[in-house]
Amino acid sequence: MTDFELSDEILIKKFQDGDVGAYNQIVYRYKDRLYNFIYRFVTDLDLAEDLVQDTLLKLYTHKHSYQEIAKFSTWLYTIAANLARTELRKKKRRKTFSVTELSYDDREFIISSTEGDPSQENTTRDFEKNVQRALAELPDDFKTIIILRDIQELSYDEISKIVAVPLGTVKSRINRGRVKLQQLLKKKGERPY
Amino acid sequence: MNCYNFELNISAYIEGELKQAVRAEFVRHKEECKNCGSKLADISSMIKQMPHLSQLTTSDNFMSNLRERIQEIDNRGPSLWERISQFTFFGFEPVPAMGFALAMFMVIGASYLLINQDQLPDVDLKSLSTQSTPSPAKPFTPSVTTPDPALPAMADSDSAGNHENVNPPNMPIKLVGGK
Repeated sequence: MTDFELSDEILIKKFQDGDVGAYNQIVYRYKDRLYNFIYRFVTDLDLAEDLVQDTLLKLYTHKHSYQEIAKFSTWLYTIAANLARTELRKKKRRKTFSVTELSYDDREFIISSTEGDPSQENTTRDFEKNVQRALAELPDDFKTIIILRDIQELSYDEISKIVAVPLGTVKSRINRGRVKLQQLLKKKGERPY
Repeated sequence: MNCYNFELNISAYIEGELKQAVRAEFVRHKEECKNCGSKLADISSMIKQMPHLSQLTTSDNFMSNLRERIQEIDNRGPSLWERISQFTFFGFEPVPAMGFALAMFMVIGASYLLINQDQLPDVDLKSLSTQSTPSPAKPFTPSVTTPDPALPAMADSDSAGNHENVNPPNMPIKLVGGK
């Protein structure tokens, strides 16, 4: 069985036993997923990349902190979410954060569902910009859960463990978050359908 | 179902988690209330589109930067805590070994104190006592108030009782306001 077929839990076990190749495999598996999660959270591409590196470095230096009682991805997302939240708090304290800092156009994106249709691509881009701006306006508690559920498509159970709140609270927050997000998008004139 | 309850149940409806009876009420309200129906449509559509947002990829030098940072950590060597936790004492695990050492230290310390009990300095416990000696009781001298002529009614009502019986013996209390 190659490393590509191994589960995350087996890979981290191998890494804990000193196999650096297993660590590299985990990095390749998660770097983009974490990047997308953190970027939606902090709305800054460079900062998001730094935070992904910090997350993966924490994994490197604290590999023995992971115990197989939780899913590996849940553990890794918890580290990333905590780092992102701390960074966002620092940013807010500095009061330099503004949604106008968005550097969305600076990078190439892989548009998965609208390839080959330029008009559709533009609509999608507008929708993405508006979603990103609306997400930036959401309170952190709602934002984290919306990103994890609706963008990263994690289960309620996993989200509950990552944000360390009961399942019922996660469900009520996701509902309130979606309603708020829809109101913000409506305010921005977004009707993507 | 009103609009408030409808809003509370939107996600549960979309994810098929509503119970039959609530679901029926929800659907009825959706058809009756245009605003709520439109809100549900907007949110459903938004949820459908969210997972298809563009996927960002890390920059080309991401891996090289990460490797550099790892190299720095490796060159720095393990931290003090890591060195302590990795240290094995005659093949013992560090944490139980440290616990054992601490217990031994406490036993030796306690034994030393017991053996040398005679040499311990004498401490006059009475002098250390925080309890103060009781002071002699002072005779009770009540303050005497002259009656206020503006309060005859109160004085009258007070005088109704038999004050002589109330007085404790040997107490020179002078009643005020009496007739």
